[in-house]
Amino acid sequence: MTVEDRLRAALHAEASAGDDALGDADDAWGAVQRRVRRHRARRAGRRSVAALAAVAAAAAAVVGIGSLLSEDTARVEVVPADSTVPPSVTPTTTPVEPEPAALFPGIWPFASSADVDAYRADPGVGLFFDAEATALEFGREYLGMAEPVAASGLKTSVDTSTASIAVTPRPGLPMVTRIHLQRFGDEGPWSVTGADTDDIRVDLPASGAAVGPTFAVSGESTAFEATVHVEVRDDGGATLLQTFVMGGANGEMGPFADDLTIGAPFEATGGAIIFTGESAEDGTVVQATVVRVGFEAGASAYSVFFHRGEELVEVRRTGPATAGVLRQALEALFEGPQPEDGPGLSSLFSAATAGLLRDLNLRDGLAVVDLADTIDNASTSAGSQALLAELDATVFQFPSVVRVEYRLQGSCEAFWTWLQYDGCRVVGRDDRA
Amino acid sequence: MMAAVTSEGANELVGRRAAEHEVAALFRAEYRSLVRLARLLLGDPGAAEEVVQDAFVKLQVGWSRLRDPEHAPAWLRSAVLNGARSRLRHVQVRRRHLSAAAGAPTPDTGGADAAAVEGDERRRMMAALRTLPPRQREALVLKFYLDLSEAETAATMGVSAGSVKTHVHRGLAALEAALQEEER
Repeated sequence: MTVEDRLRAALHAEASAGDDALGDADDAWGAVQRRVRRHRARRAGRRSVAALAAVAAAAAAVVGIGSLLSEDTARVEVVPADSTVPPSVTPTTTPVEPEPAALFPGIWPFASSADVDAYRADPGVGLFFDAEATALEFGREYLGMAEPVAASGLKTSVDTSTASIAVTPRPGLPMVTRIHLQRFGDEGPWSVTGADTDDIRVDLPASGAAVGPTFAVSGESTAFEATVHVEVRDDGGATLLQTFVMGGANGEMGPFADDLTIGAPFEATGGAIIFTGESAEDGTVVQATVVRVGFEAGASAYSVFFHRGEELVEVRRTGPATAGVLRQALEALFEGPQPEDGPGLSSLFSAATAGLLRDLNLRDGLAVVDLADTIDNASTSAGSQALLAELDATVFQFPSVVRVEYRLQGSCEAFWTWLQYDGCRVVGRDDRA
Repeated sequence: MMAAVTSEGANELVGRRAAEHEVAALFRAEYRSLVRLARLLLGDPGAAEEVVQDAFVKLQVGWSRLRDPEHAPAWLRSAVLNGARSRLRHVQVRRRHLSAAAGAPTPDTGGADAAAVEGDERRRMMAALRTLPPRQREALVLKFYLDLSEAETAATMGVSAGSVKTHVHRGLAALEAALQEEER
């Protein structure tokens, strides 16, 4: 048997061996359609905003949000008790933690002095001592360009400590991404500090900014399908968030703006926001703007929603920024109203339901909230409405949540059956009661 | 003015329905085999399904811009291949960072030792395949699993037919060497 035949047999056996683990195709099709709808909804939203004058649009949006809140909620400002604030940040205690170290400017391949030192000790073939080679590797490895090459006829500047290299995603394509590099140490290796392209201009966040768990992105772009892909990646290479924003298309620049919430804990202190335009032909990255950011180590702020009589009431809380803010909000909701929230608040959630959150997942705008157990009195008509109102309001306060699927012990169907509804449903931001 | 907007909106809806219909048919025909392809490239069943779903989302939202719907299966293959490359890149960058931090060499991706003990032809072959450079592995999987021609493989990988020939030739030679090494 030739090696070709053996390989062919092995590949076919291996391919079909995994089919048992393959999920249901209908579920997969449903997931695809949810993401398509979400893509279109966001695009439609951007289009209608773009149709208005910028000032009018901004004013309308503010009025819209304001009236939405005053119609069905009332705000109560609750100052958190000292017990909810870490001792090191209470005003009466002298801070003992050192100032956070300044953000290292390099993104890739070195994101810290330790990375640089380790490389200098064992540089292999020494690729990263060459600015252009580093830029091209960045295009290929970090951004996902097909076959990046230095753009011919465009000015490339390299001096002793900084460089800016113009790169196209593959030979012959017109899109140019300028990759900026800095040299670390005397005769040291290069690391990329950022990148930009004319088709994706980013105003927020600014380079080197510290971003919190929820932060604004804005700018102007033109891209295939008007879609600019946005990824938040930490210095370890882990993806914290993948989403997209809609700007202009067909060569016309159009504004984009969004609030992003990173639903995962910050394990790294730094990373980058990567804005990319993809090829209409094959989905590879053709251009990119990359912004270096630090992750803020301050407190995160969020709201939980309870009832006062029949009225839904918003209660502000703060917590550490080390855990996902959506998770913190749900955990706080499930602990119910606290004495410091003031009198008169009621909820089906209480100390008895603390720890109710069994699992939480946020991906592509779909939050999956899994409860560990049922709660007494929640399956009456009034009870289920109150429960859903508090859950929905708490979940949808975060702009990155577009839809939510509630589950009971892993089953969406079980959750709705418990509340006396028929079958699994996914609640959209706009179609909640 | 209003009429124009309305008919434009109606056309868009009709276009969307048509796209959903076409993509649904492609999904039924191609989903399973694309997931198998992604699994061979990635070795991770969960990631394989995500990569394939990503490709279908992109296909459906970009349907009206597809120049020739007949090319959709080829487009999907390329999109899955690119998605798999992107996943692997993340894994590798992360692994490189971790091993650099630990001062250890990059771990062998093969698991060839365990495979040798099991003595299972398929496992040994897959382990050897995983030690090949990515482009060689892709070329071999496309040619010997999907039975694509050199031209089709080249189009899917976004490289020339000549480099497909080179990748396949070198990949097979490396596989043979790895297997002989182990059989000795």
